[in-house]
Amino acid sequence: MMKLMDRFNEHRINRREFIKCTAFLGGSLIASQLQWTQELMRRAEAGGLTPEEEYELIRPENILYSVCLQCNTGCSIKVKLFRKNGTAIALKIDGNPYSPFVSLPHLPYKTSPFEVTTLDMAICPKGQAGIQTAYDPYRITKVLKRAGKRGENKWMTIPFDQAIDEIVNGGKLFGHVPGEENRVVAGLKDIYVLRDPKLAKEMAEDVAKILKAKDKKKAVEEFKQKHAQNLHYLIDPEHPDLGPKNNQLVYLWGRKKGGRGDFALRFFNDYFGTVNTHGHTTVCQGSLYFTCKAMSEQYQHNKFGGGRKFYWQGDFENAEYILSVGSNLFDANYGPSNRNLRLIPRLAEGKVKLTVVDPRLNKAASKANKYLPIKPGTDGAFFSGIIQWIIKNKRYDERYLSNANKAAAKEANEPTWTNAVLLVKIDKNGIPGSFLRAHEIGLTPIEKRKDKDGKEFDFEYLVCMKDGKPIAVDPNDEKNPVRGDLFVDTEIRGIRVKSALQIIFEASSVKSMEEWSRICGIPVKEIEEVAKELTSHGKKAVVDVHRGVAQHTNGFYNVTSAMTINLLLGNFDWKGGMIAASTYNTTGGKEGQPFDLGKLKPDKITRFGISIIRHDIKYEDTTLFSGYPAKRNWWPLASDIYEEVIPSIGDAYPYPIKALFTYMGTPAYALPAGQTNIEILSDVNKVPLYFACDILIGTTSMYADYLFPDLSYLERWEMHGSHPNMPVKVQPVRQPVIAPVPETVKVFGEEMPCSFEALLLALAERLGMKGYGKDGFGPGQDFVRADDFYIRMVANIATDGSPVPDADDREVKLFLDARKHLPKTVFDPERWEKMTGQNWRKVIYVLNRGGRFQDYKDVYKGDYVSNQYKLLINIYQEKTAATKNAFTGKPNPGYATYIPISTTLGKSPKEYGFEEGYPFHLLTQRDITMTKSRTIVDYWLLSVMPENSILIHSTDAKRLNLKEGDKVKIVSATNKEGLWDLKNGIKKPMIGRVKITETIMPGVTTFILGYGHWATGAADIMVDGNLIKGDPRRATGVHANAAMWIDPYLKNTCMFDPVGGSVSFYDTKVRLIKV
Amino acid sequence: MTKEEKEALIARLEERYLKKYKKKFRVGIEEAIQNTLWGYGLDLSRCIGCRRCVYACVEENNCSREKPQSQWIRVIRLKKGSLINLEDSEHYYNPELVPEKEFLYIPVQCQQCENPPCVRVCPVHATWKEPDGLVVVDYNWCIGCRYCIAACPYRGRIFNWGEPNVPPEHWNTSVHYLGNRPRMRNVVDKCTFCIQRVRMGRYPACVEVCPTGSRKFGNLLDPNSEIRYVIQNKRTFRLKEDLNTEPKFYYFFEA
Repeated sequence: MMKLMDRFNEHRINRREFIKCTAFLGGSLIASQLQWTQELMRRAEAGGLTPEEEYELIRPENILYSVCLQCNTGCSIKVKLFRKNGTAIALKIDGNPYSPFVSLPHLPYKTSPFEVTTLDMAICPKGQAGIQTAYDPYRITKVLKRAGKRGENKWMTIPFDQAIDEIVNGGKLFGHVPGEENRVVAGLKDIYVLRDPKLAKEMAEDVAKILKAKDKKKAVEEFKQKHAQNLHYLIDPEHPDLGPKNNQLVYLWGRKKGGRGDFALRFFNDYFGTVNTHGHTTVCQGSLYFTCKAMSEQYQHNKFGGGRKFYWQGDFENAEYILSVGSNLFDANYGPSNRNLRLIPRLAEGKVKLTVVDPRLNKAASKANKYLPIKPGTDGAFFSGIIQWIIKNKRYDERYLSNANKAAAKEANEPTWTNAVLLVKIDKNGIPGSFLRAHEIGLTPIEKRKDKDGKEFDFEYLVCMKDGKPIAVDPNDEKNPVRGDLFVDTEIRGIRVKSALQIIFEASSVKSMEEWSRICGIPVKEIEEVAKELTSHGKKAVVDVHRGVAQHTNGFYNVTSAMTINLLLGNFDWKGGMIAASTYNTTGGKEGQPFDLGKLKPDKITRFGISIIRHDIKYEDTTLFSGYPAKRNWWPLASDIYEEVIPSIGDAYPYPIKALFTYMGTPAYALPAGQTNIEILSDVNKVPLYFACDILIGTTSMYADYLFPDLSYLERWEMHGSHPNMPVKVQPVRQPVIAPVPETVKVFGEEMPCSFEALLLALAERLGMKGYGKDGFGPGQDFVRADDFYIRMVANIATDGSPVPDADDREVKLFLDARKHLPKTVFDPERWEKMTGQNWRKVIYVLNRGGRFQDYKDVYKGDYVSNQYKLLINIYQEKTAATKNAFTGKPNPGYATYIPISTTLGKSPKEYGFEEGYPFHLLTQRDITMTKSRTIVDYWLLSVMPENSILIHSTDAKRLNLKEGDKVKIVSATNKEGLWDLKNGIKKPMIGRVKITETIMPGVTTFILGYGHWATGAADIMVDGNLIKGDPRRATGVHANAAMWIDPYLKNTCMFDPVGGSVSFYDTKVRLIKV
Repeated sequence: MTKEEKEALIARLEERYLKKYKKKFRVGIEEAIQNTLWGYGLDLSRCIGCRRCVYACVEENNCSREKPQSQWIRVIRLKKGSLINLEDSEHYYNPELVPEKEFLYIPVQCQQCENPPCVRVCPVHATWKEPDGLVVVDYNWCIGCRYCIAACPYRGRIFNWGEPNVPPEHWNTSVHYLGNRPRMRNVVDKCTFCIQRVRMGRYPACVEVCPTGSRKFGNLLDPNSEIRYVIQNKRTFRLKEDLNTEPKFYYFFEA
């Protein structure tokens, strides 16, 4: 590494010569001030500091606790500062011993920060290299405006205020660009048209009526008559359900966490009033989220609703058997530091058995008790075999499954219960639909009940069978336990019904074990052995899945099947079973919390209308319904469908947009077939205005019209939250630990660093939004700075449940001393003290520890986890069964079943000739040293692997006559040239070096994500006429996402799971061509 | 871990090795001998670059012979008069020709630093320094991230790309848990000064095999040890001393 660091330093020197432009950190004053730090950083990482320097690093005032963001795990970190001449740099990052993400058990929360300075917990390589992300010379410091065509890499620096003016007011903004001399851009003021909260609410209610109406035409006419004065607010008066013009601003984000997320949604949702705020969930593990959301829908009065977007994972700290399918333990999977801590010692000591199922022998598989290679995309078949065996052999938890309501669960000491025994109506084609209502068979009439606000509603009982007799069931009844028969197939009063479990058993039995085995490639004996093992450890066995299972066109049903197995085991909320994340509340509203941020929204607007990705709505309910197939998919069960945002903008379906804002995400790089997004982004007619906020010029933000510099994760606030595999209730707080790198700007008369928050505040100021500025939160509570928002959140965290103690005088002094290098623009203790009043010392207490963490002794209670889900979990999803596939018009199944890989039209890719001549199944993988798009800037990480490779099995290599290190090009049926067309004259080929290995199935190939960049400091760019050379190290390796299949019907997006939203990451067939 | 747990673990490992390799292994868990701090000396004026140490090490420590080849000692060849360059020097010279007049040979292996950079970067605490100064890896804990390899300034650590490829009759069945027991794939290993030998009072295999007596070994805390003699009487130096890693591996030239 030394050698690499030397090279790094050489490059840094060269870089300073190249990066003369002060718009980059590498060329700025700060960089020259930081010169003295480079040698120090090098030695700190190598453990080569002198004892005197080491001593500086263990002084409590030189340590700040925050949260890593080098991947999404969000391990708590301690950042050690070295001070000189009043400035300070982050010199070394280690794990924070207060946090369960890096320690087991973690320190009691009350431990004094003075006692723990020498206690460094371990974090992964990415976390340690984070310093290089923060001090990356390619970071931008000033606002950039495009000086050439989109993506041409020509920029000019402009003042922050001018950029805000131009974005708000629009006009001929790009007269200097050939071809755009006369193009008039609509500013935000022309998009933010509906501003009257009362009117917006009224219109929203009337649009809801249209959606419910049977005769849409009549309903639209009524609407038009009533709102004749207001039609100019709408995108299309003929389709009022598209909503107001406000929806033509689209906000798209990648890695965003709590705090910043709330900050943004306040702006876009509550005040700007656009429905188009979309995250990136489906590129990660969307179908895992949305399956679990569907399983968590609760029975409310007469229908299912209120599902949570979340998921469950296994409690590795106590499980005795883990079936890990498609989850890359050791390297990834939320995350190396946290899960390994809980898994590895027990694995080494033989206290847990691990079976790894994956087409790739991953690192965890090398330590597993058993490794089973599986054909990609057939996880559902494997799970079906397991379900069939468990039910046939009666190895399920009978008591758990028979509980029909909360009272029965309580009696059985079960925190959760299912709907396995409830009866489902079967239509004449044999297709299961909704649950039978008791009134339909004359068992119990509809009841009038009152909710807690006194509002009356109709309550409908469901039905289960007990000893052959139907019984009415209220799943949420806490008093009268009802248990039902597990397997029912009968007719009641002419209605054909089956119990939910019966339906699942039948679905798992449509094929024999031998057939399931043939589909997935795992021998029957092994499937049976796994099923036996799963059912031999009581509640302490789990099926733990992640992206490998979810990121297929059948992801939703693969995950449903995996979770169904967990339900058969009845392991939810049990020690060693399935657990969910639990966090301290940030937004307030609970008793004792000072700031109810959900309510501190004077004159907030009601947003309405169909989103650009058509989510949370049924195609059939809208005025756009025009038979099947729909032009694009509709998503009643999923949201944040990353792959749909920009392609839908491209198709202007359901409407064209006027402006796009992106933040910390790169759909072009991260999505399968991301090149389809580049084509649309570079078209100024489809995306008339595109502004972005990024710490550098990224692989997608390079196409922006305006680029605002952002704060890196070491400079900003965020409430990172938790992950499903973490049994401890936590709320890690990301806080500024180093001085901000971007330029200082003035908004609402306050000085602040240019950032995501400054941008939104400035837009709010210029657009005259309510909810910002003086009395923005309400009388006497101004909202003019980012910390006005975040410090209030920290006060809420400190007072959630039983409040944290007050910091003593010594800790208060420590708090101030440790931050003396931070400028007033980001650190203003007097202001904060005034804001939080009596809670000020509690805020300090939390920030001095990097967040709030439940004590380890409270994490488990007897045989249970103490942070429980405690609700109904749907083994049969009524809500899902009531939705239809927007392409075929067929109902979506509401239960675990195996569906082969297919295109959006439900056809096999083979039918399109996608597979012939393309013998390799393409996968991707993550290595512990890379996080998709953002870690290529960390040179320490590149020392382990300067370049990624294309992995193939030795027999394939022999067949193709390929040797280790040979260069090959990856091509597929939808990218026959194997190119990334960057639409700026550059075409980057997907060429990588072959690595021959025994650790992958023959016929399968994979590459490590994170390499092969075309921006992020990899490309040459012009700023204000100066050439800034890119660093070739960031462009090396191969990024083969562009080879992934484009859907043959949609033509501008990758293939996806039409129910759960996941992109298809692991279904494409490719060919390798030697070059 | 309690004593019982350790014994159970060892029994489990021995059983697994018996099943897998058809050999009865003895997996030692000997702890560090009190008041010892192992140090190594290497007389560069005697080393002829024959690489017998490399092969003795491979044999002793059950390193994979080929596909993948794994060796804990690297003998680098250096033109006389040039500066020591650990990164770009040749270590695949022709063994038939040694010793070559114009070249020096420098065997490099884990330097058993007192302040080991590899230890502090490990994300799972799978590697640490023992009380007798040996830097060791628990292969069952290692997740194969290789950041320790990146951190080591001496290239002292090796990654096991595959399971060890050892001819059945060549297995050394006398192993230590923290040393030469058969590794699994995807873990990092390294020289341990033959922990399985030195804790039983024997020399490391490389010391024993060296035909020229270039290799010296002993307890740094024992004033009468060979290594102390070397340090006191020879002009020793350590590699990359400027890094503050404090290697316990002393090179010297016979004056």
